[in-house]
Amino acid sequence: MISDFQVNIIERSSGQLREGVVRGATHSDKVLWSHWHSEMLPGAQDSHWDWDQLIDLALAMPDRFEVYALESDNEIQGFRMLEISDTEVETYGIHALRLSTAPWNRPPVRRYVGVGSILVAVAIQSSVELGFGGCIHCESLPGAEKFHEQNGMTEFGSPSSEALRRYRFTEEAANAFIERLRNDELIT
Amino acid sequence: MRDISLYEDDFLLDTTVASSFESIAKSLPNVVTRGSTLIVQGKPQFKAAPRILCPRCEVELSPGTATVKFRHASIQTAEQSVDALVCECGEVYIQGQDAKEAYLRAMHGDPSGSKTHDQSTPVPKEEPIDPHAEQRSVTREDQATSATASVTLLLERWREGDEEAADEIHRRYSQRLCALAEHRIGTRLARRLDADDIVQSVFATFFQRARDGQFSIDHSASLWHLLVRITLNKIHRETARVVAARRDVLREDYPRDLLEPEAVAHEPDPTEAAILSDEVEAILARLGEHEVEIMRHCLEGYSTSETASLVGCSRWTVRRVLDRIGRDLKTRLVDTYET
Repeated sequence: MISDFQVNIIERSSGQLREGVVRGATHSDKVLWSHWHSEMLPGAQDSHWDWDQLIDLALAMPDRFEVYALESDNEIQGFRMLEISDTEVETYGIHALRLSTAPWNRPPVRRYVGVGSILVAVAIQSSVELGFGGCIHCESLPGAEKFHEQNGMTEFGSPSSEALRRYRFTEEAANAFIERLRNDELIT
Repeated sequence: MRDISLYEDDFLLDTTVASSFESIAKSLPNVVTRGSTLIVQGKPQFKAAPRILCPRCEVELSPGTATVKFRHASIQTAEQSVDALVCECGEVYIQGQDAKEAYLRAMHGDPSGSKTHDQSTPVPKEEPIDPHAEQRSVTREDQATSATASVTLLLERWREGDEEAADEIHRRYSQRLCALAEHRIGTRLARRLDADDIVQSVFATFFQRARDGQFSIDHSASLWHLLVRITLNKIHRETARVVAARRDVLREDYPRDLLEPEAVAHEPDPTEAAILSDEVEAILARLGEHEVEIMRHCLEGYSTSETASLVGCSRWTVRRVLDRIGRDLKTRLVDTYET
């Protein structure tokens, strides 16, 4: 588990940076899920994910899964789940399993910008610490494909059993992505 | 297909085989990942949203409503509208919980969700979801005292004057609402706002408005969503009130005239232009390489988006850097004029 680190997210209304922290998710974060769920717009492609259970799973199996929370403005702005040990992790790097941003950080409200990107950076950071040099891979929801492509991830292999396209960050592309976030002062 | 009469030969089952399967299952890992799918103790958690296909035409079903007619219910409540998954071919699928609640509404005479019987309305084709449901001897008391008692039944009992039903609703939701309120209030406002008080106020509002018939609660999820909404609204209002009170106190000491626009809003003479030029240079000297580059591109007339792509950052960063430089410059100019 990577140690807590300070980040900045952008408040869309003012364009100003707001401080935040990325830390491991805890049991007390779980209550937020019902809150998020009540605000989720119908049709959200991740509305069926149960973060209660995902956090439980990560806390029960810390050598296999990690869940991180981005907290800012006294709220959880996003969750990120990683799989850090598996046969495919050895080949393609850390498996970025799930990423959800809070409902108010999605269109049309988009209160804060940069939450998703920082949570991608969390996976890269974890990959570096575990010796995979920043390589990560994931299966993308249809609505997130453009996001991954803009970040510099490239499609590889055949779609998953759920017909989701697979994307990966090579070491070089991951470094470029991190550099961009540093330029934007989202991470230090 | 072989015809098997179920249950008749149950006593012949050899449980040894079953137990050996059980021991194999226990030896398997609890959690398996298959690509994006997490399988936890045999239950898959899919990453992609579930797609339910119509078994007849294999087209994805879409959410809609269906009308169900309960033949043994009274004519006023026999037809109930329920949420369903529908296909253009006419297939309709209704979730068990929705069907059960529609049944309870029909049999207990709750007109909410029921369609008014009209001769001009064609009688729907759907048969009752569970043909045996009407034979069950389920009393309202049994339902309401069980852990899974329907929220609609509890509300109905409360409207009839049963305060225990109100207690039961309070017991079910108050703890979760308190946890939510505590988190939303946060540590900064915790001294001024109390989560318990907020939640008590939420229930007072809810029962008052429910008594006036302002809410239509179909199931427990909609009640939870409603309570969450009321809680968040109350916290929002209370927070705004507290913050406004603080701001009023701060206003008294704030030197507002220091940064009044009139102080700097006039045409610069040559001396002022020289001062401005010096100040800009002083600010540029303090900027980092990255920020100078942004400033330079903007002074050259590039748009925010063009500057962002040239520098390799987002347009948010360009705007923020320019904003910071502008504020810095303004502060320095005000200081210069004052001294």
